[in-house]
Amino acid sequence: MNSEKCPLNDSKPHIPMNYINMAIDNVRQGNKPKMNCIWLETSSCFGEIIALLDGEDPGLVDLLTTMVNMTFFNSIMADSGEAAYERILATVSSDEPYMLIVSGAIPLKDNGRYAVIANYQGKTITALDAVREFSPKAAYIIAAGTCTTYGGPTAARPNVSEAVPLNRIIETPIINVPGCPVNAVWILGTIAHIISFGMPELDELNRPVTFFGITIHERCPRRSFFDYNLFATSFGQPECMFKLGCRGPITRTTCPLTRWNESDNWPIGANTTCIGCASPGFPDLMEPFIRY
Amino acid sequence: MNHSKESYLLYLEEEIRNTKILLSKLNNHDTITHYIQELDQIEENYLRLKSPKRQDPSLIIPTIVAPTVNVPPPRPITAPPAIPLTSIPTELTIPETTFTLEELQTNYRGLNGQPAYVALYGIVFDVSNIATWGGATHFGLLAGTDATPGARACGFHNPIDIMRKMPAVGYFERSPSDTLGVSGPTGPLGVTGPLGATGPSSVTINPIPDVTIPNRFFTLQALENKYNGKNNNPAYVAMNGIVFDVTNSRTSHNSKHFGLCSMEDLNGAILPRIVGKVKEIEWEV
Repeated sequence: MNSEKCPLNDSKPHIPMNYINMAIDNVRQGNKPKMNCIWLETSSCFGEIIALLDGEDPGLVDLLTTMVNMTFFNSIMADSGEAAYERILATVSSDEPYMLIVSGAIPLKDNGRYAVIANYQGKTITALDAVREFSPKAAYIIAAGTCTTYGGPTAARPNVSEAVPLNRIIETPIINVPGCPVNAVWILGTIAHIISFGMPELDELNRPVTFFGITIHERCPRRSFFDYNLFATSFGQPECMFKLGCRGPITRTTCPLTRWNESDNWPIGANTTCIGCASPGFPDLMEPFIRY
Repeated sequence: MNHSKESYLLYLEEEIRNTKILLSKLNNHDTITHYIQELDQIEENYLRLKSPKRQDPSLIIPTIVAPTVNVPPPRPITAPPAIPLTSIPTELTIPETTFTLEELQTNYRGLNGQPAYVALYGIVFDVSNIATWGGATHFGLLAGTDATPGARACGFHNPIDIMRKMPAVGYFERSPSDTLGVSGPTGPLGVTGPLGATGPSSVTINPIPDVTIPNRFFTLQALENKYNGKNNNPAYVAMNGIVFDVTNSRTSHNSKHFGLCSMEDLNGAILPRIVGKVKEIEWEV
């Protein structure tokens, strides 16, 4: 993809960045309203937040200061306890539309007591209660991460908390943005699209086509090795890692373009196989991750 | 970095000049529009790059840096082998070879350079170079085994479907205690009649799997008017003289599949659900 001559090739990987910048400009110039947003963390590893913190410019700061009016964000907000929970209640009870972003699966065992998000007026609020209560009025619901979208590692065998993905709890349309964790560009791109143009185009699994349209295999820098049957037999070799168990051919993301950690690197670039973290059935159906 | 940026700017300047010269010589309206758009894009890039206001990743100039990673010495390559696409069968045939489960488990697990074979519905397939079988595994299925139960759970009930995607290498010899195979319960294919005499002649499967075509006939006109997938009509599509129901097919969206529309006569694609045959004259709809 790195061509010194063709400017089009250089701009292609950054199309999402262009429309994230466009959304930021739209909000700054007052063309689009700053929508209220609740980021609810349920049963997950908080990887989504770490990936967001490692996002490139624009990143978390742009999200918080410009793109949306974040009223609740477990990990990052200054408020705590009942005061924090009241911010959700205020957002939901106001007439303004709000965006609900959920990251994490929803445990069902013992009425959802394995993921408690608040204690309010002597009552325990579980993730299950919160999602059921806050989703019907939300203008947009985004499932951020593989746990929310498909169950992911939280719902993997033996799934002691009986966790399920978000679409098993609520029937409202959900925008699925999988990834373990979800890439900052994918989640900010989806939010940016909502700000500027409304609902993004979704595929049959309700994922934005921009980020989940084609497989990693199709854009892989090692693709030519696959086409010529040149395979790595152990890690560290420069050829295609298909024989080592690479899940690139069945995983639909833009990893080769957006990459991770400020767009610095990604699994294939670090000489390891794709483990299919954004695929349905991850991690159980993607195992074994390595085989040789 | 600076050197690279300057050379890139020079390149853009040259490109703008060349495009303008090209534009002055063109006559075709569409081509001119295309190049004007391209010129605008280049000029915009050029201006933004010359005086960047905000750090925009699309404007970061790639610098050529020698790779610092210790790449092991390349292994000798004699001649580029054939592209594996050619190994996908065009004729659906099965060689007269049989494999037992023991043979598959010993010699065809896809490990240590072995080929990767897997048994599905009584047929053994070579998945060594099938992209979706990374590490000789596929969604929890392993090469060197009889993966029929897993395939059935995923909704694959049709060996012809599978044969279009990967080469068959022989038959699978089941042990008497094994109850799995082609005679299992019919799945969501919902087929009802026997394979017609006008079916694809190159398919030489023995035994004939559960692939049947109902005795209904459609004209192209009927497909266009009644089965176009619009206004809650079912979406049917004709391929190789057979009409398929793609209404609920996951690979079609809004009655379209990679640019193919329902109600058209198409040749060569995967089979979703067989509905009937296409005929020149309207017989029965």
